[in-house]
Amino acid sequence: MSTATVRDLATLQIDVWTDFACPACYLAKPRLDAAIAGTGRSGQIAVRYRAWELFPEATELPFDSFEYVIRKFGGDEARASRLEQRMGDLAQAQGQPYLVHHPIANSLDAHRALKLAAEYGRDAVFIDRLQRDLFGSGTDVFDTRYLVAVAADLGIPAERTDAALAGNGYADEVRADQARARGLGLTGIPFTVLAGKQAIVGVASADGFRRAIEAALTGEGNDR
Amino acid sequence: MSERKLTVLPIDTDAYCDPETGMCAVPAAQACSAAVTADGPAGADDPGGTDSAASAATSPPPSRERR
Repeated sequence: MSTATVRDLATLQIDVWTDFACPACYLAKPRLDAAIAGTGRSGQIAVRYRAWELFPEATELPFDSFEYVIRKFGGDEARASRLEQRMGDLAQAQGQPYLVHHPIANSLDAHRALKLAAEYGRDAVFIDRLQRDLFGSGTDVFDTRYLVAVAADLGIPAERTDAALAGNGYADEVRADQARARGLGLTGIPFTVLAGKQAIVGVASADGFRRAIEAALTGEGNDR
Repeated sequence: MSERKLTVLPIDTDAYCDPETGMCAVPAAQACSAAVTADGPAGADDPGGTDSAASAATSPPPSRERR
């Protein structure tokens, strides 16, 4: 069954605005997955990952995340370290590796590749793979060669990823996601929208996500 | 999905990232990579490190002009 068909049949549509470079999104993904599984109605729920670029001005040349944080703190390295440690603790508490030093670069190509992955029903695993490699191994997941290789690993023909990234493939879709988010009043990511009506801004607990999803499933439903 | 404002659910959250600055906030004024709001959303600069950032995550800051 195609992903589109699953979405058509779903009782509840969940839209998640996310970015690969977003540590909060990294934390949220397994919690949302667990929440959906916890409802016992995952077959009635469709998740669509939508693009948000946290660093749209960034180039393809990676910069160090920790250096970025220090700059934002006016050079206060101790404070930056303390705060990064807290994020690492949150990640490790749920079994996710987290490197303080990981690269950040422009994520447009990664989002474009994600759109292609969604056509193959591989978007969720694509996100998991990229974020694990980014936050867990410090891999430059924004690199075109990396994106093509990972997509191929996940069953997406390399020639399709190559062609999309060499041209402007899916760029309009990425921009449309971001325009839609602004229209909806996005104030933070991850930005999880249930049935096009209710939003959760940030990383809820798995139980918090689950309760909200269950309420949406038994409530007004999907207004797509 | 219709283009309209949504109802933001009052659910406690552990972290979020500011869509405009890329900075993130976590409870107790602690933050993440690409993250940490020194001057950004919601009292994340609170030296007491209380739950101001957590509160911010629950009640996100108003939108600001894009850079």
